[in-house]
Amino acid sequence: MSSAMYIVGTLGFLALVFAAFVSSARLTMRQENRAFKIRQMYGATPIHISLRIGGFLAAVALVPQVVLLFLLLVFLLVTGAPAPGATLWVMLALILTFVFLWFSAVREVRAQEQIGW
Amino acid sequence: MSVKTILEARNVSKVYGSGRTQVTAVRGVSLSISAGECVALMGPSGSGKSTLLRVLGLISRPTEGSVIIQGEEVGDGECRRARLRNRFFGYVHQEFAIIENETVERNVMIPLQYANPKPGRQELRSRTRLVLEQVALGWALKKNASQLSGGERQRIAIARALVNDPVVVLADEPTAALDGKTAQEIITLLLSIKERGAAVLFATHDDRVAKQCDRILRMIDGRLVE
Repeated sequence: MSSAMYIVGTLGFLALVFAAFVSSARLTMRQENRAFKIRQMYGATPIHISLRIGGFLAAVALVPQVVLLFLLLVFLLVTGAPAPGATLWVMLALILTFVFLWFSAVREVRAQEQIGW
Repeated sequence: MSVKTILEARNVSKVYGSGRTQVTAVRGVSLSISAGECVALMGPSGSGKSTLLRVLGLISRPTEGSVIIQGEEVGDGECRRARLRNRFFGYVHQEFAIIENETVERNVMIPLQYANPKPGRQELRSRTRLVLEQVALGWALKKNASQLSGGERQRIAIARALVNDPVVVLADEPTAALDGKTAQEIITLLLSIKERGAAVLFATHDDRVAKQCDRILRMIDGRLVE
């Protein structure tokens, strides 16, 4: 019973972290929206914009975290700590979150016809 | 001497929304603009000037009708429209539409970044510097755009509009947020674009701006009346 409560608690905590992470990334994207629209006005194609959004999200929501997790993984492997593979699962979760954010951000930017001003 | 038509609208309409919330911003407008011409588009607020400018500038798609650039109809493909926006148009807007947290240089070089072929880094920098000197902002190259005044920001927008040698510059109330003296400086600068052979289309309320143009078109309720 106590282990089930622990799992539920951990899942709840992870869900909260995920929600905070997604809303913070979306807020940043909204602030950058104007820049994307100005770029579209001057010839950026949907591919340019998708790549730019992907690069931007990777820089704030993927690469720093994955690098830190990789260092943690190396540390756990070197010190022989139990369950070093857990970091890989977290990396996978981050990558999936990144893909979700990228897809939804591109859809949001492209859904609005208004570009430029 | 024949005058070359470079931009044309044929029976263009633009409708926003649907059902009860449907608004027709532009109704069956046809017009043509020739190379080196300066045209003022006048009319009260909500008459459809900005919408028409957006449709002509390929920023917005017409609900009906077509836009023709140098004799060729513009299709629906977004990549082609993006390429034409880059090669053919410069845009100046009353709210400046600049990226505040980037340097003046990076703001101005945006059109060159999407040009085809893309200029090399040296050329990118030299063309940006040259156009900034033309609008008397050479000193502000590395400044953050947010540090500059309204008139200077508008000059950044003009420099960005000119950096790719556009064929048509579309200016939507470019002086609305500026004081009288700065506004006249901006108008003089925009009119000087004609000397480069480009056409300028102003959407404006201001008679003083319109009087300096070659031709005045008036819009009321989405229709061109003159």
